[in-house]
Amino acid sequence: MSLLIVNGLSTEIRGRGESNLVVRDISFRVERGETLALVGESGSGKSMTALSIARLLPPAAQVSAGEIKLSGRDLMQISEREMRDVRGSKIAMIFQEPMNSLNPVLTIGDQIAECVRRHQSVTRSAARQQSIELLAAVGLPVPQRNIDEYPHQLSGGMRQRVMIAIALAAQPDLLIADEPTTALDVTIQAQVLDLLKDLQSQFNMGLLFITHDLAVVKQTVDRIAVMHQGELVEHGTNEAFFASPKHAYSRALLAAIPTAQKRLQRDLEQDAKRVSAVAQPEAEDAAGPILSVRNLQVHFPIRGGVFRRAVDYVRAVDDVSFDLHAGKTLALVGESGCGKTTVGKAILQLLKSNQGSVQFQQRDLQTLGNEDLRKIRQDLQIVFQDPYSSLNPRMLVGDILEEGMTALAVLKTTQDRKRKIKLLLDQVGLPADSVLRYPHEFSGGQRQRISIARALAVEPKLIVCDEPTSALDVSVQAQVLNLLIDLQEELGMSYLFITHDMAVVSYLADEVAVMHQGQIVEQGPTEQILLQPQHHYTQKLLAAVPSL
Amino acid sequence: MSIQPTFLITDLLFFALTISLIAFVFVVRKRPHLSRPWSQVLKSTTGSVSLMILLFYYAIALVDSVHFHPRVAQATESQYQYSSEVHSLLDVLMTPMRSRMEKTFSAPLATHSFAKEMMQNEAGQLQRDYPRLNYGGAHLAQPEDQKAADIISISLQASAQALFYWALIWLFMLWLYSQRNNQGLATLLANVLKAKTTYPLRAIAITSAVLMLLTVVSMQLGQHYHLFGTDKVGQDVFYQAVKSVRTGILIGVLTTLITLPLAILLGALAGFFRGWVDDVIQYIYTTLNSIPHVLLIAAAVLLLQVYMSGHADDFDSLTERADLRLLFLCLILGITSWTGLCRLLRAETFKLREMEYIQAAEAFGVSKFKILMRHVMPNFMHIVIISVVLDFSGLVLAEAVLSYINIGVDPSMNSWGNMINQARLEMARDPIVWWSLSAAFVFMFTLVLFANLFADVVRDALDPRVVRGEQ
Amino acid sequence: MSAYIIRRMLYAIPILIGINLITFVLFFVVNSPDDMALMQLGSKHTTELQIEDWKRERGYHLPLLYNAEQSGLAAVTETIFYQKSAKLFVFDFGSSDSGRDIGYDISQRMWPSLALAIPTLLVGLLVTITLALTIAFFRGTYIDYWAVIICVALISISSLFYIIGGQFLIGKLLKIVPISGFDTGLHALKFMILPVLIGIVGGIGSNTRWYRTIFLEEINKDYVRTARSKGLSEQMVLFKHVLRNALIPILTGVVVVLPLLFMGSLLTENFFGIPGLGSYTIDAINRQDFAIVRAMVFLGSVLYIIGLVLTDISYTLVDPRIRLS
Repeated sequence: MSLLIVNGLSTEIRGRGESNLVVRDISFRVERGETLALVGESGSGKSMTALSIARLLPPAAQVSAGEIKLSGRDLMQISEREMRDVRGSKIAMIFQEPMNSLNPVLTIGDQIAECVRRHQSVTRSAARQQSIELLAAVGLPVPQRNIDEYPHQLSGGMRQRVMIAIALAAQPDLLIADEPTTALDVTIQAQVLDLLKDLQSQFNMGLLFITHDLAVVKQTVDRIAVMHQGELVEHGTNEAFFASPKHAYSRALLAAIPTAQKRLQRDLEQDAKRVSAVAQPEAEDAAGPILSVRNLQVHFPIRGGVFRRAVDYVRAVDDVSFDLHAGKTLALVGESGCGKTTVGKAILQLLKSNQGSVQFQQRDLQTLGNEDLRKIRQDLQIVFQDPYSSLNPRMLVGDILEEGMTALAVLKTTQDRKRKIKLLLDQVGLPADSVLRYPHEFSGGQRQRISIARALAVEPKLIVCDEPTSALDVSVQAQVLNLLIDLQEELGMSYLFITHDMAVVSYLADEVAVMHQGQIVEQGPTEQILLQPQHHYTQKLLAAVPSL
Repeated sequence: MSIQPTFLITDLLFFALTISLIAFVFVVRKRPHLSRPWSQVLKSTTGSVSLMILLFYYAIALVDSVHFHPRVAQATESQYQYSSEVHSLLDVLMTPMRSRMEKTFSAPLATHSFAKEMMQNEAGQLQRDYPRLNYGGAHLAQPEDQKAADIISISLQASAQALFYWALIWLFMLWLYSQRNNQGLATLLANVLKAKTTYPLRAIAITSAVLMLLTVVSMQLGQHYHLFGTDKVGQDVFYQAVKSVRTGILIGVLTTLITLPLAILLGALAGFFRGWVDDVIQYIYTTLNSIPHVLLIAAAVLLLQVYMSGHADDFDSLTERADLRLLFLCLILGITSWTGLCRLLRAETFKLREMEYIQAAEAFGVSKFKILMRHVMPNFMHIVIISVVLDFSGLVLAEAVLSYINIGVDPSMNSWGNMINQARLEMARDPIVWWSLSAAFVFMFTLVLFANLFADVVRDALDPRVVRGEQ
Repeated sequence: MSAYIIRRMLYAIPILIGINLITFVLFFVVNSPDDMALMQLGSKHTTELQIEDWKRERGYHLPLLYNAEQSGLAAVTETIFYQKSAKLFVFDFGSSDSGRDIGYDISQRMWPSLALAIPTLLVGLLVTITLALTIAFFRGTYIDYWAVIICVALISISSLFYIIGGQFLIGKLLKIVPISGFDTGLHALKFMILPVLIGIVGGIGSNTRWYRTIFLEEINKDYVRTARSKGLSEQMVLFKHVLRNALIPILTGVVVVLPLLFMGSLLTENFFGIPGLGSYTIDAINRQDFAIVRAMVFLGSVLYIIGLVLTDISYTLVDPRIRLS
């Protein structure tokens, strides 16, 4: 008998007078000791499926059809009281955000022991002892001390380990992990994934692994089920899926993941195009680098004491130097908190740097007066990460695109600007009537296109792309990346591409600089860094990246 | 001219505010992202019913703000003389009620005074009895027998009138609507009755019927009776309660004229520039906030009294003096109440400051002033609106409390607080004089209740946090 | 953390100075002592001499900031600012315009105020938190819907009517407890019941609604889902997880008003004839006794600032995120 059988499950969300099926008639099984991945992009209904199984749906949502059998028992038929006995002891869950998922005012020990005592009749001290053992099992450094700490005192990876300890507290038969590593850095992700695999075989649990990341899936799971718009479009073993995905959506999903091979393919196509084009503007390379950063340092004061004087500094950027040549892409890679975004902002003079120089077109930006800086801003633009906070929701798209041109007096007449906006929308692949619409009417990918058009409006020579695709689904990410590459081909701009994603780096960067704790530990041509990393951090980073 | 129009300062401000409100409505209607939450407000039954009742009160206040000096009878041929008294359009509409003074207390709809008096009976003997009122039920020969029937017949006639006109107006409006939308009048009517329209037309129709009934019946009864009785000096309590509407509404809306500029400007500056600007602004509002508001208001009003008693000659009339005091009260209420909104806006600006679209604007070299005007302020306006609507009811309640402890509006001004203040001394009477209190209670409670309900709906519609919670 | 608290305390000093200056300007600069004298004595038939006497009796005859007639230190101390405003810093309130020692009056009158305010606050908290938790338990049902409507209706009733209505219903109709008055010791109890009850009922609407919002905000957080996924019952989730988190904003909201309890309630004390600081203030306002109003403004501000500092401290005590960072 299968551990978990989901049969014809449908879940709906009811709004004002209308209901919306977010899970449509899906069926799958999970066996003991086996891992099934539920893969899909945002809004595909994968999380709703998980919550339906544990009967933890938000009030507006409810299961409208289907049966869910755990060890032969239909969970849809039992009372809420019986279901509570199932939760924790038979089905345990891990969620995406370990910070929000833990109660901030209870100690870690309280939160684990609570689950232990809920499902086993043990004394308080025995439960505490068991909690310490669990913490040791999930690899917390000092379980005896960690047990009395609060969630905010631990790092993100440690918190997720605590979540796993809570989930294991009553030795469940089925573990549902809902994007357990999405909020974590790639090196931490690798550790947590290893831990999950170990524990699964140790406890012989069934694992339902919910994720958007096909690369993670390939290394971790036995079988894969792909969800798209609430439906299960494909279902098969790991090997079979990656060898020959059957459904068109699965193929599209795989094709959208950027890799070095795809880049080569793309380069060939571009070369072919270039050959067919008669005249081809040669990059003005001889003039030297367009951007040259030397010994850049940005420190943030830590204030303390009675008078809030700076007692220490966070060295967010500590002695960073690199060159970027015209028409090229330099990728600045690193994990969260390494200072890569700060570098971008310091180059744009959105942040004051403490030391070092930023030479842009042979002029040191830090010594420029306000007026000169304004002139230079025309050549130096930025595209941000979050498609939702990067566009003012109260402004028409037309006004957003026009703002830069007006502020920098690029085009003097309204007519010229209108014409330019039309051209821009065409370049980024948006309909011309977008000018009279508001940002909220567009999807995430389209918003990112608007952001790109906004930067392009003043015809910059260099664009700082600060994680422009990391908030997007993988299929949309591919489109935006290709758009960026096409625009570079067409307009000859340089990109400083800030990212944490090695796959993206391999897809579009000419050169790579790897950042770690405010410093660049290694830089060089993309191929060299990816294939022959010298620095041990780069090696560790590359080893942690799950690949297809 | 039989009248000489006059504008009190509060009238002018009130009109200006009304015009800007109307302008605001037009601006919002044109912009889909602004009008969406408001149409959500109007689609909710609570929202549109509350708004109707608030508008009804607002209209009373507006009519009561059209002031003039009436012409005095003894005018020479070439030159008219105008009374120094100031009347309003509302006084004209409620004509008999304003001037029909009894001697003292009388119960609602009474025909006899509340207090016994020495008087001569038919036999010419002196005896203590309840005298007939000068106006209340004066048209009845045998009040004991006729009163009930008379009241019922007046009410029924008035109701019939009201409902007739109400039906006429609604049919006409629905007909217009059906013409415009190419919909049969019958289907539209059926939809309205089944409450299947986009906007809650059925609820709006019922509310308007109730308002119309109440207005017409009370006005008709008021012609012959004192609907809510009379107070100690014999003035009609219903008239007082209606006149108090203007005071309540004005306190609620004029105060925002002070709070909004202060809160928006200082909040945005503190949050945007941080550093010492933030320190100074925080210092100002913490200091102001730490003084107990009631005491600050008390001190300010006492000082105003000192000033006014020292400069009694500067004021043309009692009305003008009372009006200035009302304005001053709005001013001081505004000064004590901007801090809360300012703190909210400061925090919101802090958050907005980190938004990437503001950094994008900085990367274009857009000036700080333009960033504030274009990127910061429009994005916290929903907080401003929510807070204005939420604060309104609190201000109406505050007026009552302040007037009760004699630091509110001028004692000569009609206000619910003054009504309560005067009436509470009569609580000890036996039988109790309850009508002044009840009238003030009913009028004030209705206004504040629907203002609060409206505020709830507006907050739900405008606050994006709530929207997120629903998803 | 101690540095943080010390900083908050130091921050209070400029604020107190600011308040002192504001009161000084309000009471002595905007209106001169002559105006006050005229107001008190009546503007008709008052001679210059009478005004001078009135001012001299109360010490208002001195110059505002600098006394040119005196030399040395006395030039500064023999002024209204020093005598009337600066002395407030050491809680020397001077005497009222009718000649009574304000400091003594305050020390006598704050106890009845406290006797009224503390039970109102504590019982009120218990009642409203229980109600709000119950409503949060039934969230999304008709119970929740109507409870909120009732709360809004309760909020819409002026506090004046709570007092008048309560006095009328309980005191007059039911004749259970005396309508007003006060006594010492245990006898005070029967006089306290009605005002305390009215104080609690008057606060139910707004507090219940507010606490409900806090509870619902917490209930929608992710850790609650985690708690449910452990198999905890709804009661356990509410009491152990939600209540603990929600109590942080609730308690710190209470701490800020704690010191202000001394000031008493203006309306309640006035209506029920309780000789506390609230009725003291009202009487002073009605008698237009500026000295008392000035003293109460300063006292109230000081208490509010103490409340702010206490709030900061209580945050660091209650919230582990702040305590341990």
